Amino acid sequence: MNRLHVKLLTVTVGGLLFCNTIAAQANPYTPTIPPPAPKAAHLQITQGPELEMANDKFAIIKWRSNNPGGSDEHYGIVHYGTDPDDLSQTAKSPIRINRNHAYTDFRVRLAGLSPRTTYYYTVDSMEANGTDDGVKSAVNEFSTR
Amino acid sequence: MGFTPNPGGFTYTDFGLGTFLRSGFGSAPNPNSSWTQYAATVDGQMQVATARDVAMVPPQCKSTEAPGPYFQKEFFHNGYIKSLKQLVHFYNTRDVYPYPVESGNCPAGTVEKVTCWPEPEVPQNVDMTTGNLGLTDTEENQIVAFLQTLTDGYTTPYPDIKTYTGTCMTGGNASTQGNSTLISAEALLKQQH
Repeated sequence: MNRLHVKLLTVTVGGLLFCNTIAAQANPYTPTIPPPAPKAAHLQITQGPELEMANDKFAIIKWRSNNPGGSDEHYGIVHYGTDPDDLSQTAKSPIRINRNHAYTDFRVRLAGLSPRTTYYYTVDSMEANGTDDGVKSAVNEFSTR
Repeated sequence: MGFTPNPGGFTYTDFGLGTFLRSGFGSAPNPNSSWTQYAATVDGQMQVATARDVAMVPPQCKSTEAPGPYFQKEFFHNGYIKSLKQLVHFYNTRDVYPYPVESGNCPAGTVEKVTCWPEPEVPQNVDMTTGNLGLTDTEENQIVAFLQTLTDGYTTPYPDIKTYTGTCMTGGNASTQGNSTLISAEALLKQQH
C-alpha cells in the first residue's frame, strides 16, 4: 500500500516536470502553421468554369474545385482559342490555396483578346512547380464585347 | 547630379522583380544568372512590407483617412493609393470596375478609385486571389478599422514620427483622397514632348 502510494507520486511529479519542459519551450506567440491543405479524395471542379466578366480586351474565367492539395502557391490555367479544336493559347494566374478551406476559387485573367469574338476554353490547375492537378474541364465558350 | 532615377519619364513601366532578375536598369545585378529564366513569371511583382504600423500617424493628425485632420501616406509600390479605404476598395473591386484606360482618363460618369480602376501597367502575373471580394462598404470600413489596430507605438530605432512638425491635411473623403492631383497620362506625355 505504502509502496504503491510512492510510485503514484513519482509518476505525478514526472508528469508535471514534463509539462514544465514543454511550457518553457513553447513560445505563446509562435503562430501555428497548419499543414498543407489535404488533397480532396475525389478532386473535381465543383462550380463552373464560367465567365466572370469580359470587355473588349480581356476576360476573367472563374471556377471552384475542391482542394487540390500540394503547394500553397497554385496556378489556375485556361487553354483558349477561337477554334474549339485548337485551344493553343494559354493564360495563367497565381492563386494561394487557403489551408483552412475545403475548396479553392480559381480566377484567371485573359488579356489581349479581340473585340466581339467568340473564344473557346478549357481549364485546369497546377502547383507552383508545374505539377498538374489532373483536373480538366469540358470545352466552354464566351464572347468579348 | 548625374543620377536619373526614371529615364523613361511618364512612359516608364516598373517590372519589379522581373527587372531585378534581368539585372535591368536601376536594379542591383542579379547574383545568380540561372534565375534570369524566371523573370517573366514575376514581372510586375514587388516585395511588400508587412501591415505593421500601416496606419501610424503623428499625434497631431488623427488618421491616414480624409476628412481628417489626416496625415497623407502613399500606399503600394508607386504611391498610387492614398488611403487605407482606397487600398481595401482596390482589392475588393479591382475586377468589378476595370477600364482599359490610363490613370486620369476614367470615362465620364465614373470616379477613379471608386467606380473605375485603370488597367494595370503590367497585366501579367496579377494575383487573382483578390480583385472581386464582394465586400459591402461597411465590411471595407471594418477592415480599415482592423488595419488601424496594427499600430504598436514603437519607433526606436527609426525616426520618431512624434517629431513631425508639419501640418495635417483636412477635407474631402477617404475614397477620393488625392484624386485632385490626378493628371491624365496623355496630357503628361504631351507636356513632356
